[in-house]
Amino acid sequence: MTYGNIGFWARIAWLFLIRSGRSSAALSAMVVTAVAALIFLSALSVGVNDAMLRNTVGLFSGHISARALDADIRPKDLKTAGVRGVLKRIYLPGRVASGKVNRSLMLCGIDSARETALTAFQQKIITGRYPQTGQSELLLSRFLAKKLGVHKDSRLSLTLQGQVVPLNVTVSGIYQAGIDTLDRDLAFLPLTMLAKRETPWSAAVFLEKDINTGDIIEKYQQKWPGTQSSAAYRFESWEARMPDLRQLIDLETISMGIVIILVFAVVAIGIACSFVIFIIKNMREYGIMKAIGVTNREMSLLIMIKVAVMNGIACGIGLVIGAVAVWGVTRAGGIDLTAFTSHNRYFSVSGIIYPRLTAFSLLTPPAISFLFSLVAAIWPMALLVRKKTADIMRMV
Amino acid sequence: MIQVDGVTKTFRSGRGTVRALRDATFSVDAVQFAAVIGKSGSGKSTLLNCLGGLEPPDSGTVRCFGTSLYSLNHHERSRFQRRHIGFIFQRGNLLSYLTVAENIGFPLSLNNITGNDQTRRIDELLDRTGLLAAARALPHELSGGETQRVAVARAIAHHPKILLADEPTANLDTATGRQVVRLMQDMGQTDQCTIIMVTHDLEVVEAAAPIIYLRDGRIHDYNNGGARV
Repeated sequence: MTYGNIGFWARIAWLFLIRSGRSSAALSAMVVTAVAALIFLSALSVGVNDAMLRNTVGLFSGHISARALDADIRPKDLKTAGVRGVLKRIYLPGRVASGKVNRSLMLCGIDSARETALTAFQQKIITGRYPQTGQSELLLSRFLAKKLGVHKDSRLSLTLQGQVVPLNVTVSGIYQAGIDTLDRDLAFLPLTMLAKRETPWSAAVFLEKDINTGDIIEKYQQKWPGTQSSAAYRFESWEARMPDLRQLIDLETISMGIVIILVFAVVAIGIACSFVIFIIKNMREYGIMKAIGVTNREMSLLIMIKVAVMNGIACGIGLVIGAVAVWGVTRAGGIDLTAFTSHNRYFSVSGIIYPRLTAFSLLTPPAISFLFSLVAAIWPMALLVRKKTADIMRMV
Repeated sequence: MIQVDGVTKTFRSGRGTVRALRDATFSVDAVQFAAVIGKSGSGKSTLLNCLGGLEPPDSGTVRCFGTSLYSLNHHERSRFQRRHIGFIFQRGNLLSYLTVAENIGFPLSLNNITGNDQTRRIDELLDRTGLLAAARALPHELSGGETQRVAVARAIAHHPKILLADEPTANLDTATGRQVVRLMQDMGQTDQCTIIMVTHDLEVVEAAAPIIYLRDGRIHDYNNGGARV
């Protein structure tokens, strides 16, 4: 099968498109708009996923949680390529008393400066502040504060597990995270209060964007073999910890994929119809070409190249417009959807969405548009191939 | 030589069956200038389409220089057309998005005549048709006469053996029409081309031999330079 000189047909297609400027532009506009809009929507979808992750993982727990780490492992040992930061936390049971009220609780030792740098938890402190390093302070959940009947700056008596003599501590602040596991009997205290304890510690590992949690966990497991087998001593990704969020993100990605395909199916029908009109308008010229001796294969190739070139350019323009729109919205501070997310636990910190371009959001719309446009070329191609030259010359 | 033997073509439409050609048989020798005449609806254009490979007949054969046109498959027939046949229609001959020079170059490119050879041939034809100044013009910028001259140049560009013209002067004034016909004849002679032209122009008819007179789809008269069949 030969198509003769493809370069020649590409040139003819190009001349046709640029010298039929208005018609080409009108046809392309549809594709440009669809590609740009869908790139923006896809980026928005990625942005929503990012926001959910930022609000959950970024609030407190990190992308990877590590439990029961030996005291000889240091936070910097967990810092590897792709890891933005590691927070050391020590969990310890204790008892707290205020007057006659006495309550068991879980204590979490933290480094407040590093917590502030890596998490958004401080935004959940409704009064007061984090407990400061070197001070004897406690940050209580609102639930606990209510049960104990205390408020900021109240004095409490704290007994850590294994301690006999209670410590006097001050309530540095009260928080409400909006997440059940954090809002019950939990209080934060400075790591310095637990410095002398050889307690196994926990880590919250925060990753850079688009870093796979599985890859990092694999590195950790290679570094500390055996961490997989022991249930008490292992690394857990946010996906394993929050399978519902994983599903939600997957669902969103699939939904966006379906939307893109549906939109381009409609656009493809539009392109096919427009091209058929375009061809009928120029039917006599195709008849002339057939009379000159252009074969059906060459005619099909010409149509295919016209559609491909037009859509290629339109997709390129759409891609640039879409990308610029995403960049512009992100630069302008994102889209604030707080009014629609305030009761959603996956948006517990902020409802601001920053559309983000990924390979998926940037390339899927133009790729699908291009593919569908080629499919759309089949109808006009078939129309021309089936018509006899003499019939064409008679009808116009 | 072009040999037409027992060609019949029938069309079916809402108005019933039209027998456009009935058992047409004739021949035209190489380098002859033949005219096809007849009233409107007599089958002239259908005959020309059959000769040019554009309209397969219901029965009969069309042989062009030894090749039976309709025994070729579609692809082979297109290849034969592009190599050996030039076509000029009554109107709308040019590809609107190509310039005059590009229109003339189109059949040359199809026949793999490219580069300097193509440029030389285009320049030669532009010169002969007096269209050098309009080389870069688009068809909509041309007059009717100029358009038909470009059509002649394009039809003859690749040195075809046969030039088929379907009333090429119908939409032109008499003087311009004559110019176009003279151009066709000159070029045909230079390129040793057999010309078959559908026309109503008596002056053209007088210069032609043979003259094929069609009536109701039948060859009513065939005058080959005095020898009537």
